[in-house]
Amino acid sequence: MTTIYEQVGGEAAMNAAVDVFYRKVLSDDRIARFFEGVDMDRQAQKQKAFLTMVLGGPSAYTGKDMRAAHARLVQQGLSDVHFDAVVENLGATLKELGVADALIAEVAAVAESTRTDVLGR
Amino acid sequence: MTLTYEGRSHRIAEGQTVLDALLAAGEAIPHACRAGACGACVVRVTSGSIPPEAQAGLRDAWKARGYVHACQCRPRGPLALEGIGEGLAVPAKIVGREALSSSVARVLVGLDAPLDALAGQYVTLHRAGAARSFSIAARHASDVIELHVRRVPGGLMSPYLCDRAQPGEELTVQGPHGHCVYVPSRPAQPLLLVGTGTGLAPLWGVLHDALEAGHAGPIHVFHGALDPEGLYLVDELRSIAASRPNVRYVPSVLRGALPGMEEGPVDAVVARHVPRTAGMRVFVCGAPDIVQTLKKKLFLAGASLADIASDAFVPAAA
Repeated sequence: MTTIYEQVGGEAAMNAAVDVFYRKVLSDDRIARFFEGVDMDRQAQKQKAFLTMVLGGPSAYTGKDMRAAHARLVQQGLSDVHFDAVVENLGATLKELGVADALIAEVAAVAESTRTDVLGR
Repeated sequence: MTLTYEGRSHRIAEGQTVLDALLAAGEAIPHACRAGACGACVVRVTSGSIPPEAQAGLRDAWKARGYVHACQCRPRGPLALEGIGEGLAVPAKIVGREALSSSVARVLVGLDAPLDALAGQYVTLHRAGAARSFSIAARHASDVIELHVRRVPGGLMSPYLCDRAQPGEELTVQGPHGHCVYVPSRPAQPLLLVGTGTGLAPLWGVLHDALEAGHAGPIHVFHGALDPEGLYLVDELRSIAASRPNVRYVPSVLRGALPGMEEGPVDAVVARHVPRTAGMRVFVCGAPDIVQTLKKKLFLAGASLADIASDAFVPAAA
């Protein structure tokens, strides 16, 4: 069975996906402040790893990484509303890339599974 | 913990950087940005476990040979190190200098050994124990590089380069670093070059390489400064724009604009002229805060992240 990652075009498609996703996230007033002052190239790498992971591609992402990476943001007030906003942007990104709604729901479920780690619970 | 440098043992505290420990121990380690960018403090690990973050941004060949940024290296166990050897740094001599404005000089440096460096990349000059990074504005023949140096009053390197350097005087050139180079793969792609201060140097290199390669797409050159005194090569760039229909040059200043200059923050000036950047190859060089702002705005205006090359000129931290 092929993964959604393979269906959307694998590694080659991820750079375009990161462009779309990162632009949405930076333009979203609900969450843009969490990205102030971050190095855009490093952030894009992380987003590429995140997209690869939720799409079922080859990934070394672990819950521990997610927890550590977001700990500082949790201190700054990162909460469910912000997590929901990212998942929403993720869905909109996939839709723009032509992914079918049923598959988007699958991806959203994978993203959902990271919620407790991201929010440090 | 113990740190061994060139066979001499020193103490290093938990969480302390190799650079700080060696300086505290009285070792003479050249250094400049303390941010892992300039490469001035690169040393080589001969034994011990290398923290990965100490090698961020280094070429793979360097990583494989154990090179680390001393300023980014916090050992988790005993480490033995040595200073950088030949091959990464080449001997060089001053060839000449000329003033480009009241605060910026063009400095020509002759390389006494081959260095695989392109216009737009940057190198670190070492002289008399000081180390500072400069972008390569051009290569003249294969063995002379052109640098644009802004005089920093009281600085360890720039007053020498701008005012006192004499042909034949020796220094060492280390590098190159950076990715702001013209790649001739897409000759019709619009190029957007934005720089502040001596951030013009790498852009000057990219512009000339593009023109030499016969780049057919539009080339937009934006140079920003605080005031007209901060701009340089204005006449030269105007004349290039006048003779090349695909080149546009827009000088801008925050205050005191003269005729033919725009006034305002450089990101606002760029947005006025180039509201959409989708499909463009973007180069952004200069002061770190402005580079960061520009990268974000030009990305949001449509350019792909993979098409944005940047060089933040991190000021020396003494």
